Amino acid sequence: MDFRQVIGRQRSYQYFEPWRPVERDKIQVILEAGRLASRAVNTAFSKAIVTYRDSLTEEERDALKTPLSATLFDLAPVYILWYHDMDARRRAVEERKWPTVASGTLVEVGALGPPHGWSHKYVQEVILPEVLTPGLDSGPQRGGNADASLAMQQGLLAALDEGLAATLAPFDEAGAKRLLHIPDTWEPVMAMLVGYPAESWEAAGQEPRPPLEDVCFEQAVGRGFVRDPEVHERLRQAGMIQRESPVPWREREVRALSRMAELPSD
Amino acid sequence: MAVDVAAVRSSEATRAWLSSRAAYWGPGASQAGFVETLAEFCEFAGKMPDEILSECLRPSKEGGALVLRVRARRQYIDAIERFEAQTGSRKAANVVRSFLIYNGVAMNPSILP
Amino acid sequence: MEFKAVAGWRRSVRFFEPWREVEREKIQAIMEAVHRAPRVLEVDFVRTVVVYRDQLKDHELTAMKMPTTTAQVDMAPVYVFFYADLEALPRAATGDNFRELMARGVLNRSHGWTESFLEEQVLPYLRGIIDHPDRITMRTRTPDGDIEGPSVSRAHLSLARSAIGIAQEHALLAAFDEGLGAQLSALNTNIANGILGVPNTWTTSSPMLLGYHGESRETGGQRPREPFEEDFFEMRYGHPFYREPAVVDRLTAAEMIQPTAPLPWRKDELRALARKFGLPD
Repeated sequence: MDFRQVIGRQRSYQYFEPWRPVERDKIQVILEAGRLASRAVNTAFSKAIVTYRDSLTEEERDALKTPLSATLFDLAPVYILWYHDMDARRRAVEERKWPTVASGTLVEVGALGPPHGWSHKYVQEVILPEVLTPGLDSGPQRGGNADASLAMQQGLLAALDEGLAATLAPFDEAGAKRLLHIPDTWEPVMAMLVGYPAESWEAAGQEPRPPLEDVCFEQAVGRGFVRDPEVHERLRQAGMIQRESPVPWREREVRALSRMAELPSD
Repeated sequence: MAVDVAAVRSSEATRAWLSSRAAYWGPGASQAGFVETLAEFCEFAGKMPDEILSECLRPSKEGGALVLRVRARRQYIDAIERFEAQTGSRKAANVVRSFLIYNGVAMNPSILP
Repeated sequence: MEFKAVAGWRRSVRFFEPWREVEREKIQAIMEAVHRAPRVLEVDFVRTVVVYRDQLKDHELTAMKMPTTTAQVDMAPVYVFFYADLEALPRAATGDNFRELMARGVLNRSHGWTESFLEEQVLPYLRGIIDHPDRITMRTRTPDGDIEGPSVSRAHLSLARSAIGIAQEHALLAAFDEGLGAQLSALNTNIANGILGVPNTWTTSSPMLLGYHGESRETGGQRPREPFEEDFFEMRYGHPFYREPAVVDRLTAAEMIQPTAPLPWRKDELRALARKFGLPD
């Protein structure tokens, strides 16, 4: 699918076809995409565990739910739980097992070389002790890591590209830890709920956002990025910008979907 | 300060530089004239290669690991820029930068316009 | 461009054409892609600042560099800074965002979304994140010492950073879709925040450098990764998700998976780039 269409199809999808399994190869595509995402010092801060609604008992499913995600866990056939591995940097520094900055690989493959002032000795004598090692003594630190969600989001876009619906929602950390044997050093990011959409691709329509110029600035905070309407129109034609919610038929669609899934509607 | 090219060539830092650089780029990367250029800079700075390096990277107080001395690095960045201005040669200045880079001191000159 | 090819051609580009400015319409397309990124818990965390290198004063650009900053900062004509506004979550905890989504048919009664559900379950859940006792005080490092910012829970900060990562992902891919190169890079964000007038209630991550490729699109090949099975598991940790080779073949045909670095000619290219920009080798 064209990239702009994929971006335009982004929604908080709420209705999946609970009876339709997701082909395993499509799940692999999601993970493969996540694996290729940008990441600092080429280190794998992002981890994921795939689990299937129908492989869990009702009690186990309930253990994963939060108020914001309960029904989603009942409808989506696949859950991909994404985590931030708080121990990734320490392992990269101490083990140097995989191709990271710490292991010298980026210098060796010419991603970062002498033209940028880098050499193996610089990695060993400066980057390792002065950039990558400080702070490791205090152990794994919570507070998130943007890199973990870079991978997650690249996976989510791949799901949309594969013709699936996917939505991000919080999950119960303790329940997941017990159920999936999550290491202590993994901090939860989000659950990605995946399945075939039971609702139309438009769902409710694109969800509202604050005006662009209130959240995107040019050269300094306060100087709003003013949209060029012609560019906006071109992006609309390319499918990145679509009709805003609610689409006119949404109420009827939701009623029908609720009947179909035997969910409350009044 | 008169600098003996042979002494520059035999210094530990020079040998480490040339062997690391040859290992990185392979046999096709010429190093002809590099030691002479470095010797010119040594004369300009009044320091021998090992001295330059030990000013930029010194053992930590706890011993063992080397620590990059930011001020010394800054001084050599400036000195190399002056050397470049004096020689009128970015190429010569980059030889000196290469010496420092392969010895663990990052150098990031401005790009040429 | 097809999505899979965009993901496959994305690299951390470290050589840009310094003389070639980026058309504003392309920047707008990138920012619109960021604007469409999913919101973590439907919270409007994300803020961005587009900075044109040539509109910065020399001393400002110099001050933004760190000892580990490399030549690509001088090459890239545009920098995009990403932030999460930490006040966005307390604002969302009033429920207004959710009420709007309920009114628009995004969140529905079928999933339990009613005013009482919002008041009794969702908003307390958000307050639990905001008020969690595991807290951290945000600090800004300055030459005169640290300046204390707000105290936030680590769970709150984690959501904010996730929101930044999602936005960065959209920005990076949109840049490559526009035929540009980009990289998340290291700059002194404390200094940059002062120059850009960023409030101390915004937290940040790596800015994105943006420009036309100064090196080949391949940039030496896709960066090597640890084995797939190290990162992805099925049903429980320790049980790797089996990697089916046929899927790898399909993604290779779609240009998402490409030859891994180093390509055989990378070092020749790198030395040529050093000559092109007057950099050492």
